Amino acid sequence: MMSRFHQDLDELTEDVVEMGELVLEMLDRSVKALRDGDLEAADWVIQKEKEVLRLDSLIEDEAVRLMALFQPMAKDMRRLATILKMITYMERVGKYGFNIAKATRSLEEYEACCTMPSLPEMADIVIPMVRDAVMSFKNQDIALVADLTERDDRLDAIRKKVIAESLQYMKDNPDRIPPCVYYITISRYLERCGDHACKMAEKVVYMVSGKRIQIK
Amino acid sequence: MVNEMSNDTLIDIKGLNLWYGQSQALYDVSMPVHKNKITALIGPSGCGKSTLLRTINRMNDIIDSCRIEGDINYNGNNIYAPACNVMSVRKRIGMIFQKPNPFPMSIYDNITYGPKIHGVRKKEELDRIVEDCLKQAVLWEEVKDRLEDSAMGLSGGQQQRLCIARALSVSPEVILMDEPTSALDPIATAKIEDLAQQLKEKYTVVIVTHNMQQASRISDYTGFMYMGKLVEFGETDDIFTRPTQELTERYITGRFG
Repeated sequence: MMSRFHQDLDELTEDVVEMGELVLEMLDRSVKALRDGDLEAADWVIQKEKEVLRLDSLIEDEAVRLMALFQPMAKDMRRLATILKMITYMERVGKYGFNIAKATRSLEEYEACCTMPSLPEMADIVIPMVRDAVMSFKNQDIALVADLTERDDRLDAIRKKVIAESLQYMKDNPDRIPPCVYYITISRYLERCGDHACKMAEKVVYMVSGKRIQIK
Repeated sequence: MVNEMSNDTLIDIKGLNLWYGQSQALYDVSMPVHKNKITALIGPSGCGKSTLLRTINRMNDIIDSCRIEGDINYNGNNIYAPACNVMSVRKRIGMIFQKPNPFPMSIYDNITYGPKIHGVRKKEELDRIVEDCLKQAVLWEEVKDRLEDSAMGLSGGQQQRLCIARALSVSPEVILMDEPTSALDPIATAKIEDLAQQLKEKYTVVIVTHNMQQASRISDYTGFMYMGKLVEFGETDDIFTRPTQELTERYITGRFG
């Protein structure tokens, strides 16, 4: 028979996965909103921020409750410690989705410029990175995140390209600076999401194996 | 598993097997006890942890059917060698039991009982020992004005600290504790745990406990025992955060049986 503690810990794990799926959906929809100028999608993301904050507090409270009441050890303690870190990283990813959605609203008055297509290209790399980090946590399968360093390198390369191209574009078109500033900022958000995916993966490796690794 | 004799190994248990009659209670146990450290032994009831503890000062000798093979080297000498003086082993390796067991006499006499047997007669010297041991056991302030009162009138936690003071009175080097807080309330338990931390500056402590949080809080090294075998021994931080043996993992995370 499974102990009460382990049942609660498994339920908490499901909540963490739910939060991960929510922030992934927010990031995905925010980039689609940006690409398609879909303000409805942007609004959906913006109004989901509260849900992320709710889950963040709920999971943190439950993790602290389990630690206080059951004094977990070994892999149970590692899982709770990982959960407390994971939700912080996931909350940031949700916040970046929120920021991209807000930026999409602000960009409504501007015409898209040439560097914009690179942003969905970054999203195509970073969203699977975050998804694999969440899934590796769910399934305790660290093979999913084995190549995160390479993926993050590719992400950084596109980000550099966005900055270089935006700068050039702004020089050539001084009247088009505002959208480019937004694009540079959004590329920064996406790049940070990649970093958070790497940090999540580091924690999952610790949770599964007890070993500390550094992905970047 | 750490079982090499290192510089700070005070007691080195090697290949220890123990039988009660036909029934084997310890199987080939080898582990070090490090000087000025607290070593905890954990494991389910009947796993042999108290038996192992009692071999360290030859307390099992008093059980007729008990038979032991293997060595326990203390300061380099095998305490199971025929020439070994059991009384001097027990003087150097004291013991605290689960239930406080003060003698039915005054607080003062409880402490001086051992020193008197070992020939200390001078009142000033006995007074000094009483004060010193009660201070080390963090009991002095609570009892200094009533040393002639019966020890039986003390609370459970005070009685246990008195037993620790009594153990210290013959200047041991090692203190064995067999579930010393299992009969105490949480506050008295916390006092004994704090005391154990202070004691390790001067003494080496080996503690058997059912309370894993206690082991993880106070010990430097932990051995996990199961069915008479030492399954895993290592630094406490490692045992409780990333044990190497699946059996240890299952026991400390409560996924056992």
